[in-house]
Amino acid sequence: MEYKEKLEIRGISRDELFKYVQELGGERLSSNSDMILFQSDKWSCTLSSEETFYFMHSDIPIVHVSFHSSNEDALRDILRKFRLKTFRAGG
Amino acid sequence: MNLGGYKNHEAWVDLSKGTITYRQLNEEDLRNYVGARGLGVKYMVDHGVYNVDAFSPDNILAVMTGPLTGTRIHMSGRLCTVTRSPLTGTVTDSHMGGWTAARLKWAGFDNLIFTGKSDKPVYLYVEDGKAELKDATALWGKGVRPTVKALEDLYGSKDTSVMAIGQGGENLIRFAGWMNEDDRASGRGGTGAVAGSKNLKAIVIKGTQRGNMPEPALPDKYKTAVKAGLKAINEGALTAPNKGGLSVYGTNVLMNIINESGALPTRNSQTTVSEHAEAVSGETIREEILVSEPTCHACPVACKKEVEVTEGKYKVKVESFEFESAWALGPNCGTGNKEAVAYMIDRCNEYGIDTIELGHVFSVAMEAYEKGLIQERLDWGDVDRMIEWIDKIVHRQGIGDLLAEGPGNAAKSFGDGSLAMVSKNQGIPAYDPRGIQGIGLGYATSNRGACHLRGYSVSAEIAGLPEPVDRLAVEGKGTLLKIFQDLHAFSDSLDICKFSAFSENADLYAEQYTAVVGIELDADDVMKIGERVYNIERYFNNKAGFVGKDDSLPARFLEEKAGGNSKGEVSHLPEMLKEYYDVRGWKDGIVPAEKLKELNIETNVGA
Repeated sequence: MEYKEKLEIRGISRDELFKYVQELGGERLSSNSDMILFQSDKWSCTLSSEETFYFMHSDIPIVHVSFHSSNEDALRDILRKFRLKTFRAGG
Repeated sequence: MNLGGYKNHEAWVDLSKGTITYRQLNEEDLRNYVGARGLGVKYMVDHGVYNVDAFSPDNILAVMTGPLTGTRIHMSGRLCTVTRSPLTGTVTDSHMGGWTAARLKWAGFDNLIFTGKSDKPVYLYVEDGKAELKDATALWGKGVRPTVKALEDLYGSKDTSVMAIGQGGENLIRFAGWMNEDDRASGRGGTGAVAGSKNLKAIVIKGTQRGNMPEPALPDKYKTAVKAGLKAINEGALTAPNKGGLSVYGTNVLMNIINESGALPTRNSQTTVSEHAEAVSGETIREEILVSEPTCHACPVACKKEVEVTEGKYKVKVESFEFESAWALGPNCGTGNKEAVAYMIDRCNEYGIDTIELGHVFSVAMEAYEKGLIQERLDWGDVDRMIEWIDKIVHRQGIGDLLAEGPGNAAKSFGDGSLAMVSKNQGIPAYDPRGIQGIGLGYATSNRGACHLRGYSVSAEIAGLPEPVDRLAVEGKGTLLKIFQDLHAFSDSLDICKFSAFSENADLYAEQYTAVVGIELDADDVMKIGERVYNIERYFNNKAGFVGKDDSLPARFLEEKAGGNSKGEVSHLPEMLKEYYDVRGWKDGIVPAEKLKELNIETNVGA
C-alpha cells in the first residue's frame, strides 16, 4: 500500500523547497520543466513547477509538493519535518 | 557566563530606595528562556508577583532585550517590556521598534528592571555600563515629544535614544504605553501606566555602535547567518524591500483584504464590513498623504509609513499610520476620515496611549450612547468629539475618567459589560473572530489578553501562507494555533521583528541564535523553547487566578452573525478550544504539573 500527501506551498520559491527536500535526505532522481522527482530510502517526493498568484500587492510563488511512502509512519515523519521548514508565522 | 550576544549585565533599579544593583545573567535561565519576553516572564515568576496590584510598588517593570539585539542580524531591533498588566491582570509583554533596543545593548546593558516606587518623578540615564537616576520633576506633565526633546537637548541627539511616557502613563490610564523616538510604541497592556505608577518618566540611553556591538560566539557562522537572514527577507514575497506588499504599504496593506473577507470589525463589531475601509487603506494613504518611510535598526523592510496632513484643522505629521491604529480609530468607530485618524494617532503618540484600546473605549461609548445607556453624546464617526474626548480621557475628566479604565471596565460602568469587545479585558485587534476562526481562538487563549501577535494564524487563514487553510473551518485550528504561538514566543524572546517571520523559518532563527550565542539549536529546539515560554506565561496567569473560563470571547462573536463574505458566521470557540487544550496538554486552561515538569519549568520559586 502506498501512502501519499499533496501539499500546496505558498510564499516559498521552488529553489528553496528543493533545498529543503535535499536537507531532509532526498536525492534528485530526475527533473524536467514541470516536475522534479526526489527519492530517499523511506519516501519519494515531487515538486511541481512554480506558479505565482498576486496577493497583498505581492507576487506569491506556489509550488505543489507530493510525498509518497509505503510506510505511514515514515510519511508522517517527513511531513512533520518538511512542514517545520516551510512554516512561516508572519505577524 | 560565556555566551555570545549578551552583555551579561543588567541593572536592577529599586525606585523606592533610589539604588541600582548590577547583576550578571543566569546562564541556565538564558538557555531555557533566551531573553526579552521569555526571560522577562521568568523574572516575574521568580519574584512571585502574581497577585500584586499592577500599580503597587511591588510590581516589576522589566525592559528587556534579547541575544540578537544590537547585532547585525536583520530585524533584530526590538525592545520588550514585561510587567503585570493594569488592564488585564495577566503577565504582559509589549514590544517596540526603533533604535532604543540596539542602543541599550551598545550602552552595555541587556536589561533594566525596575522595582518599587520613587517618591518623586525620575528618569534613568544609561551609558557605558552605568545607570543613574535623575530628577524628572521638570518633565512631569509634559507629553512625549517635549520630554524627548528636552532630554535630547540636554544629552545631545547623537547616539541617544529616549523612551518616555506621556500624560497617559502619568495619569495611570490603563492602556498607556511607552514611546520611543517620538512615534514608536509599546502600545498594549498598559506598561506605560506601570511606569507612571512608579514615577518613572523616561529612560535615556547613550550608546554608540562602534566598538560596542555584542560579540558573536561563532564569527564564521555569524557571517553566514547574517547573509542568510538578509537573503530570506530580500527574497521574501511580502518583505522584499520596495517590492513586497508589507514593504510598500506597511501593515495597512491588510485593510481592504480583511474588509473584503467580511472580517473587519466595524462599529464595535456590530458588522464585519465597512464602507470606510478603502478611505483609510494602505493604498489610499500611499497615494494621498505618505511622506516618508523610516526604518528600525538593521531593517531593510521599512514598514513604517509616515504621513502628513498639510492643511486644515487636522494638520499633522506622524509616524506611523498602522493597520491596527487606522482600523481602531477608523472603521471601528464608523469613520473613514484619514486626516482625522492621523491626527488622533498623533495625539495618542504624544500622550503615550494605545490606539487600539482608545478605539475600543470610543466604540463602547458610541454603542452605549446609541442604546441610551449614557447621556454623554458620542455618535459614530464624530471625529471632532473623539479628538475632544482624547483630552478628557488622558486627564481623567468627566466620562473620560471611566474610559481611562479601559473598554471592559467602562462597559461595566455603563451597565452592560457585553458591549466591550475584549478578551481578558484587552480589546480585540482588527480581525473579526467570526470571519477568521483561528484568530478568535488566538484572542481567547492569548496570555496577554486579546492579541493578534501571539499567534498570527491570519497568515494561513487569509494569505494561505505557507499552506492555505479554510478561514471558516474549525477542525485543526487548535493544532495550527499552537505552532504559531510557540514560534512567536521564541522570536519575541530573541527579540526579532514579527515581519521577519513572513520570510524566515525556525531553521533560520536557530542558525542565527547558534551563531550569536554559541549554543547549538535546531528547529525542534526553537519550538520547544517557544512552548516553554508560552507555558510559563500561562503558569503565571494560573497563579494570578486565570482559568479556562477566562479563555473567552464576547458573546457577540458567538451569537450575532457576521456579514459580507463571512455572512452568517459565528465563532466556534468552544470546539476549537477543546482541540487546543488537548494539543497543549492543559486542563481547563491550566498547565498541569506534568507539563511543567516536561518543559523543565521551575515552580519552586516565587510566592
